[in-house]
Amino acid sequence: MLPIPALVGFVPRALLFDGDVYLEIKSRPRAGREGARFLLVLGTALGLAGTLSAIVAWATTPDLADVRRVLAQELATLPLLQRLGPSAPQPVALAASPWLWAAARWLFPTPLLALARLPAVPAGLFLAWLAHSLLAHVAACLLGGRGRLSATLGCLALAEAPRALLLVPLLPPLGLAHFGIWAWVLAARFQAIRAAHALEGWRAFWATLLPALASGVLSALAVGVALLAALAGVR
Amino acid sequence: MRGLLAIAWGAARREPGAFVRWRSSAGLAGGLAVLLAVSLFVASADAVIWTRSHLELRTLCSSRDQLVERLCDELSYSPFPTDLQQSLTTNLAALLELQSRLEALPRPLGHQGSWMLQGASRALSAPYRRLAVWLPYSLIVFALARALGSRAGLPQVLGASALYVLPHILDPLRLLPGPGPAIVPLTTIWGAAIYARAIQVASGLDAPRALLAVLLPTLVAVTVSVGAVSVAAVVF
Repeated sequence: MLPIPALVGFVPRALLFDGDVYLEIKSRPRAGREGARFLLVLGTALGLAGTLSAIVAWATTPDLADVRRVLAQELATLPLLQRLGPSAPQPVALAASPWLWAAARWLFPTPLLALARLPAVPAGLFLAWLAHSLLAHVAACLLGGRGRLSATLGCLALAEAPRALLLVPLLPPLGLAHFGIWAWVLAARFQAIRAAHALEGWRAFWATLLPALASGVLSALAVGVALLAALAGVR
Repeated sequence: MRGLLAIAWGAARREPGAFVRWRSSAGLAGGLAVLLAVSLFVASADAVIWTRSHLELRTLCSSRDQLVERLCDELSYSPFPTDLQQSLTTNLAALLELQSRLEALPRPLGHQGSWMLQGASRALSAPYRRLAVWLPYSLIVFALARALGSRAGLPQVLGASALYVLPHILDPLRLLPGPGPAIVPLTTIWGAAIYARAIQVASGLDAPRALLAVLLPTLVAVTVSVGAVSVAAVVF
């Protein structure tokens, strides 16, 4: 097994789209386990960085209960919402929805909740990696790939290396700015799949994109169902 | 260092040889370093101004009043009816008032410490915001370039295209009175021209195909947006 510093040493090369790094991890006899160790280290570091950022965000922003109180008082008096007439109560009631504020509390936690949330980061990263790798392996095999599952797992674990850019102290919640990191990970996954299965360019492209699209559609459906449930609760 | 600066200056003037020399010397790592440095430089200037304006409450209130007055003035030249103009101005004032009430709420670190830390965080997040625009767009352009016959590698194309950010080092000059408002449109156009030349040189495509690869994602996005707005206007 490679030592942790050697695994971490792969990160700069993966960030700069050096395709040979995926061939190196593919050649390891237990590439899947090496990948899982790498993700555990990365996930733990991300969890710690996220907890620190959440504590800083908590210290520099008002309490959510105060924000909720002000919004509940002030939203109904906004001229725009008063002009909406009968449909005006909807935005106000939505702003008072307990589901919305529970989700907001999860995204902007207190220090204790941030610490409690810490194990969820490596666990979530691990499960997402496993699910995506299985889908990608199936897609690559259907498109003519010849790689082992272990090689796919190892290479796709390394493709998560761009998330290491989130290990910056004092980084606020990025919101849509995460899109850049996600795009970087997607490009790295393309290289990983191409190396793991020896696929030519366009086949590797579709083997990368199809699982990402499937995950995106499922996530959008889940968010949509949650929003509809919140709206139904409001009514 | 001096050599890299000379290459960067050549790239800012859209010299094809500069992009070729950049590829063999600094490459993607250099491109990312330039992107990071320029983003942090511009964002630091903005963060200092943002933090100062929040620390001086009177300045913040007067800048919000000025924003409402400016909207009122600009709307007076628009074709909108008077009651709609008044409604837009009143709503902006009400939203800014709501924002003021939310910002006045107490916070654990106190207002001064919070504004200073938030200013630093805003500066730190600037490279990520620039990355969120540049990288996905460049990946799509790269895919299109490959489809149009390019044989270039991803690190080559990304490393050269990142140099589009060079003119944006002048963005803090937008705060100057007089020519200030013209600075950002100028640096944006200059940056786009550098981007197009960088893609052409790095991908090895001829000018028309390189331009197609660069412009097609924007054209598709604009068409889809206009279509979505039209459908929404018809439905609602």
